[in-house]
Amino acid sequence: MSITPGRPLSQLSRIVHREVVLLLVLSAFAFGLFLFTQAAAAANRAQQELDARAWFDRGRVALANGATANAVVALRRAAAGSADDWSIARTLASALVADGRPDASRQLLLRWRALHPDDAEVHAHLARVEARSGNVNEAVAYYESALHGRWPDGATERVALRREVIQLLLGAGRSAAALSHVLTMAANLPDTPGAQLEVAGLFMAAGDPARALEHYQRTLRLAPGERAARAGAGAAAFALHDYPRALGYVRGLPDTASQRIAAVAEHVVALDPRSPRLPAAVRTRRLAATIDTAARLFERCRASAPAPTPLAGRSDTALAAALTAFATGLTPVSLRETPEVIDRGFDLAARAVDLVAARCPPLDSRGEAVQRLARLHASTP
Amino acid sequence: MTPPPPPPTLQSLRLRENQLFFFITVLVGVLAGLAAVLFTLAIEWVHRALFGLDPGPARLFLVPTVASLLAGVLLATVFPDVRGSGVPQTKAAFRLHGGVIPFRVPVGKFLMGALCVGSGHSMGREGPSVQIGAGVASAIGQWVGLPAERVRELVPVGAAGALAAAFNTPVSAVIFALEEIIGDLNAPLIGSTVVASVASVMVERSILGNEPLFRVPAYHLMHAAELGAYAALGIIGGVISVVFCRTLLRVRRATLTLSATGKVFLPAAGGALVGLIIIAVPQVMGVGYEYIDQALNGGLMINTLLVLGAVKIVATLVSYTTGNAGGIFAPSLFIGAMAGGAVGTATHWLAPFPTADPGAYALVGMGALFAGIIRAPLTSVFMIFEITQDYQILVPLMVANLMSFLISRHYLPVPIYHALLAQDGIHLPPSIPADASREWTAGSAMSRAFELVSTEQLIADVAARTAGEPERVVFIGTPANVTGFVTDADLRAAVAQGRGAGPVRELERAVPDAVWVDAPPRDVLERLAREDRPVPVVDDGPQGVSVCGVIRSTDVVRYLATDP
Repeated sequence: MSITPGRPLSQLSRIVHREVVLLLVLSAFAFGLFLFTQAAAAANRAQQELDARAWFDRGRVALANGATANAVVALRRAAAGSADDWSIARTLASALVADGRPDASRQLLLRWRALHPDDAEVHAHLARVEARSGNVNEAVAYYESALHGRWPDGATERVALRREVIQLLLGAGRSAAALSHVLTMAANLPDTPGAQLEVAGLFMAAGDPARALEHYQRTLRLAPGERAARAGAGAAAFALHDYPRALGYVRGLPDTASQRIAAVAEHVVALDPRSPRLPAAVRTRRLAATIDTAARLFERCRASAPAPTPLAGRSDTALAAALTAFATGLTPVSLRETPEVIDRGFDLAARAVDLVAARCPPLDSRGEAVQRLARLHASTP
Repeated sequence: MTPPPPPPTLQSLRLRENQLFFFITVLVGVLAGLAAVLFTLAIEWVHRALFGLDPGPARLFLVPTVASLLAGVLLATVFPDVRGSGVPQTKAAFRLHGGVIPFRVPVGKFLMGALCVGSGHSMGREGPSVQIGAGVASAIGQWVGLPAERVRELVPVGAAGALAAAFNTPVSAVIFALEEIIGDLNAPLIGSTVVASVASVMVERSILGNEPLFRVPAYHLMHAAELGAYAALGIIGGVISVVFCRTLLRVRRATLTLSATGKVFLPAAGGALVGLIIIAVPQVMGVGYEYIDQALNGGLMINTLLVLGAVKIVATLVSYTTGNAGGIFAPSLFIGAMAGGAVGTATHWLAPFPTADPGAYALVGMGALFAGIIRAPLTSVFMIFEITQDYQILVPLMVANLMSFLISRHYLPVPIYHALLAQDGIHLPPSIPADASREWTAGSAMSRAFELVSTEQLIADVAARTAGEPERVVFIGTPANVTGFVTDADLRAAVAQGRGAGPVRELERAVPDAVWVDAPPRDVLERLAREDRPVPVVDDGPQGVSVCGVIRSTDVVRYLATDP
């Protein structure tokens, strides 16, 4: 009997020892093959990068030419060849948005965000995608993340982002939220005319004319000839009902908005019966002129656009009669004896010009001046 | 003078053999991984060389046509065993051919697979990688001179190594080897497949980096009712699987009736058809992982998803049934991703509850189609899990996989790999569970009714000792060195002839090689089939190797008849 089941002991020994030699040979072969494969993979990788770059260039050209579908195809191939290239992914995300596929763009960027959660630029792009999709809350959240993320050139990028988020919030009618960003932006801005002018404009847009006026004034101190700052300061003062100051800023400026402000402000200044240090006769005259203006505008409007309902018609007639009666009964004596007459007069004027503004827009500069005075002095705002 | 080293004992040699097998397993894993990586690189190189950066329609048509013409000639003349996927052939090699795979098979698969897939055929690289890995493993085993059983064991080891590198999914590669190649999740080879898989993935990652096959965002089950949508996806996946498999088998059966010359040119016809298809829909050419990735990331619109899924089915059927070399792993994932993405988009539109992104459905769809077509549900679940590394997707994935698997199994009782082999006249035996093969050993079936006598004992004395026990076997020799045996009939005849005073060695017959007491049924039955003589059973005890029993066919039959 062979004592080794199946094969003799010496045979097994020989095989085992032969295997050791073969194992060494195989190991050497495997090592050589490993080096070869590594070199082949590196060469393949380099070629993939070249191909990706070529597709990237094609994609950029297509995107610039407005061929968004072709751009997406080319950029996708570029991204497949060079998956870790952010510039390709960023351009692809933009191309997808331009091609009307924000969902795909969002997915792409979310994948990048999963890989690079601290990358502020990815969050910024996500914010833009959400903004373009109308998702203001998500966009603002991404903007916040981007603002708190890492940037290679932090200050410049953050200011640009802050500007974007402010514009987004203003566009969405969320002035209060925008104002907080403008305040942050203002605190970090350089003291240059351009920067001050910009932040003043943002304050104005965010509904804070007082701070806007401060920054416009700062701009004018830094650059006295800056017309935009004068116009802005005039608008800010106008919004603050500081009509003499507004007039001072905008007088002589050529732009339409400033001219309109100037015209309205001139009328306001000329018609305001509560201007300081006026004799009663002048106050009476101004109030009478205001009522007269309101009555004339109202009558003209009634003639061109009659009341839509009989009830409104009766109301119009009553208002016209009240205006006439008020104008008839207005004397310096009555004004001196009962100062509340001014309030009553502006109540009537306010009702009249508001109806005109609603029914026969737009108001002319004199009408707007009456409206502003009415809002300023009426007892029932 | 130093004394010579002591001769090796059998125990030490057996231990050393196991250690060597372990090292060979590691080497097989490394080489299978390298082969899989090289195969991937070769496909990309061929694709780039043939198509360039941006091929025009003429090139798109001519490249697959001409490449398939060349492949057809080579497949008919030089590499006849490397058509199609490679997984069925690997299963056949493991279960029927003792793990013997000629070395020309992995070589041919590498070349033909790179040519066919690289030239735009809608096929995958994983099936060929499995066959290449298994072939490399088998070749190493044969070259080293391992025992037949060890060579056989290396086949799933190599397959697991190659698949692990091809997918960068070591766990699912092990499960695939157990589930699909061996057919037994409890197979004792699990250790070797794990070692090879780990070695392979380490090599692959050291070369290509630890990049997942697909980059997918985290998915979540947004609402419990979504499971219904995933179940529907599983049903759709099952139906698609059945349609795909049945069509593939029918068309392939028809092509098998072609003449030998016709079969040479069939791949070229397939290439021409695929060329026409990819002129219209170039996204379906080759492996197509780029577009799976887009589907997983919600980058494709529903009409694109539907078109790509449908065209991919057609293109894969053409490529595969015309006899080109390439697998159906990747196409099944592609089709599943497109179907899943489409279902996900529709669910997103229609569902009254919040739903996950379509990419999540694309991912689950991949698993569902894989489970339905390949019929390896566990591999599918683990593969998707390894790709995503996300627990959240597991429950929907299992629901969809189960539905798809059940539908596929109901309407297609024979799995596609078995059916493909059956078309080629190869019928795989049912896999033997590890428990069954370990149910008995030589020791449990052997008989202890034997005598051990020295060569010089007298015939009459031996005959007297065994009188009335004709079944008792008489071995001649020492416990450590049995040289022969004598039958009861020989003893009686010799005594009757008056030769009782002679030594028993006069009646000695040659004894066959022994089997170990713990030898599995396969070894015992092989020995008994070869030797119609009593086979000694030996044990390696404290006193060394000694005979402890005898086993004959009747002993096995008796044991199997009486053992509950």
